[in-house]
Amino acid sequence: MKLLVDIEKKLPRFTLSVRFEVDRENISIMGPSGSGKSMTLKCIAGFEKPDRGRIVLNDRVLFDSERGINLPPEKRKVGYLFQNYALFPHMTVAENIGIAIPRSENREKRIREIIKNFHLPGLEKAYPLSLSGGEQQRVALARMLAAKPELVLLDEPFSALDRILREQMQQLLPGLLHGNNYLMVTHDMDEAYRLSAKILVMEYGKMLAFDSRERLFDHPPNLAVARILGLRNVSEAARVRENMIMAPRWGCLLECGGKEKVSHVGIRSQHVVISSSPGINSFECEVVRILEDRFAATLFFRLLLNHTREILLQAIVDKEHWKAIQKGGRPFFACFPPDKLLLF
Amino acid sequence: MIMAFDLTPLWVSLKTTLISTIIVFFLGIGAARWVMNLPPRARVILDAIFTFPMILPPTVLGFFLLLLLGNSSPMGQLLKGMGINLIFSWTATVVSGSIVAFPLMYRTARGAFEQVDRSIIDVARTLGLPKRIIFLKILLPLSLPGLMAGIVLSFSRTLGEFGATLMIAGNIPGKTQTLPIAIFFAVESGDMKTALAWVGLIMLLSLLCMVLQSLWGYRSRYMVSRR
Repeated sequence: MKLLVDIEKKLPRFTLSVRFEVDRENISIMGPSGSGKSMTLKCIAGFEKPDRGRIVLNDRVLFDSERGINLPPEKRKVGYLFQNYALFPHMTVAENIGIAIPRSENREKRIREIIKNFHLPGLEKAYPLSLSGGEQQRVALARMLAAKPELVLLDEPFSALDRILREQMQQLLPGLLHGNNYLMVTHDMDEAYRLSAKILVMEYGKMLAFDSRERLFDHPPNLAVARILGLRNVSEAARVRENMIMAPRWGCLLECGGKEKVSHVGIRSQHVVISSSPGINSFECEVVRILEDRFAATLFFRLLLNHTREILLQAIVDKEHWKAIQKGGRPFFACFPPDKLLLF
Repeated sequence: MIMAFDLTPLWVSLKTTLISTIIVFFLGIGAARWVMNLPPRARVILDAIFTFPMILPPTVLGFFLLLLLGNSSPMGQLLKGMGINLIFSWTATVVSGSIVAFPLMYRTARGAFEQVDRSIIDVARTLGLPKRIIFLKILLPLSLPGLMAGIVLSFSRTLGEFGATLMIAGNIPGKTQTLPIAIFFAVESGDMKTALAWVGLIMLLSLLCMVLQSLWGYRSRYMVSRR
C-alpha cells in the first residue's frame, strides 16, 4: 500500500493542512480533540472534499484539485471503521458481510470463510444490536475487508470497548486485517505505540511531526509534540553553564549537557526517580497528592526549594517501590536523571 | 333503512384517498430523496416550494388549481386538446387530494431519511455499494417507521380534504362527492341523519388510521431492534 496525501481544507476554526507519504506501514494519527485528525481520514475516504491538493493511493488518483478529480467513496476502495461501527441494524451478521462482497464472487462461500476468520461462527443470524462491543467491531472489520479495500482507515477503533476487550482486539487487529495497512486515529499513546510503526502528530490542523514511534517518543522535535505525546513536567529553561541549566518554573538548577540554546526542559513522569537519599539532580520534595493504580502510583509533588511556587510535578512509580520508600520516612527526594531530561 | 342508504360518497372517498396516497407515497419519497442530495441553497428553495401547499388554505389552493387547470388556462387548453377534461371530474379529486397530502409525505419522508445515522450511509458507500442499492436496501428499510407515519398522515389528510376538492371537482353525487363534501351538503339541506352517519363513519376511519399507525410504528421498531 502506497499513499500520498497532500491536502488543504478551510474549516471554521483553522485550516487543515497535511502532507505525508506512507509506504507499506501502519500509521497512527495523534492530536488533541478537534485538531483535524478525523477530518483528514474523512478526506481520504471521500466523505469530505478538500479545497486543494492531491490524494493518491497505489498510483490511483483519488483526488486532485488541479485536474478536477474527486472519486466518490464508492470508487475509492478505502475501508473506514467508524467509532460506533455503523453496522446495518436491520441486517443479520451474515447479511451485513454479504452485502459488501462483490457480485462476481461466490457469496455464500466467502461469507462462511470470513465468519470463520473473524471468530464469528454461530452469530450468522444474529442482529447487530444483540452483539457485544467486541463482536460488533469484528463484524464491522469483517464487512470492511469483504469489500477488499486497498487501504483501511480506523477512527478511534477501540474507544467504545472496555479494557479487556480493547487489549484483546489490539492483539487481534493486525492478524484480522490480514496484512492490510491501516491509518488509525487515536488519543491513546500506548495504542499508537503498540499498533503503528510511525506516528503523525497534529494540532490545529497542522502536522507537527511525522516520524517513527521510537524517535518521536525518545526525541520529540518540539515541546508541542512532546506534550501531545504525554510529557507532563515542563519548565522554561536557560543554560547558565556548559553543564548546567536553570529551570525557573521548578526553581532549580539542573546538571545537564547537550545543546547550547535551550528554551524549555521537560521530563516524563515515568523517568522521575523518587527516593529517600539525595543524588545527582535531586531535590527534597513533598508529595501532595497520590493517584493509585493497581500496580503503579502517580505522585504529584512539590520541590522544597527557596523559590518554590505552587508548581506540582508528576512522577509515576512502582507501588512496591513507593511503599518501601515510605517506610524509610521523610525526607523524600525527586531525582531528574540528566540523560532523561528533554531539552527544547 | 341501511340498505336504502346511498354509500357512493364512501366509495368515492376511499378510491380517491387510496389512489392519492399511493401517488403521494412515491412522489413524496422521490422528492425527499432528490432534495436531500441537492446543494444547500437549492434544498432550501425546493423545500419551501414543496411545503407551500401545506400552509395555504385549501380554498386558496383550489383557486390556484382552477386558474392553472381551468379550461381558459394554457394548461387546460393543452389537456382539452388531448381530450381530457380535468375540472369537475373524478380525477380532479385525486389531483387536489394528492396536492394537499404531498407536503406531509414529503416532509415525513425527509425527516425519516435524515434521522438515519449518517455514518451508516457513509460506510455503505466505502463498501462500494451503488447508490440505488444503498437507497433500496439500507435507507428505505431504516426509514420505514417514519414512512409509515407519512402514509397514515397522507391518508387522513386526503380523506378529510374539502376546500380544494370542492373548488376544482365540485359536488357531483356518485362522481366527485366525497365524504366531507357529502356531510357539508347534507347539513346544508337539513338532513342531519345522513350527516351524522357520515360523520360517524369518518371518525371510525380516522380512528382506524391511528390504530394502524401505532401498530406499524411498533412493528417496525421491533424489526430494527430484534434480538
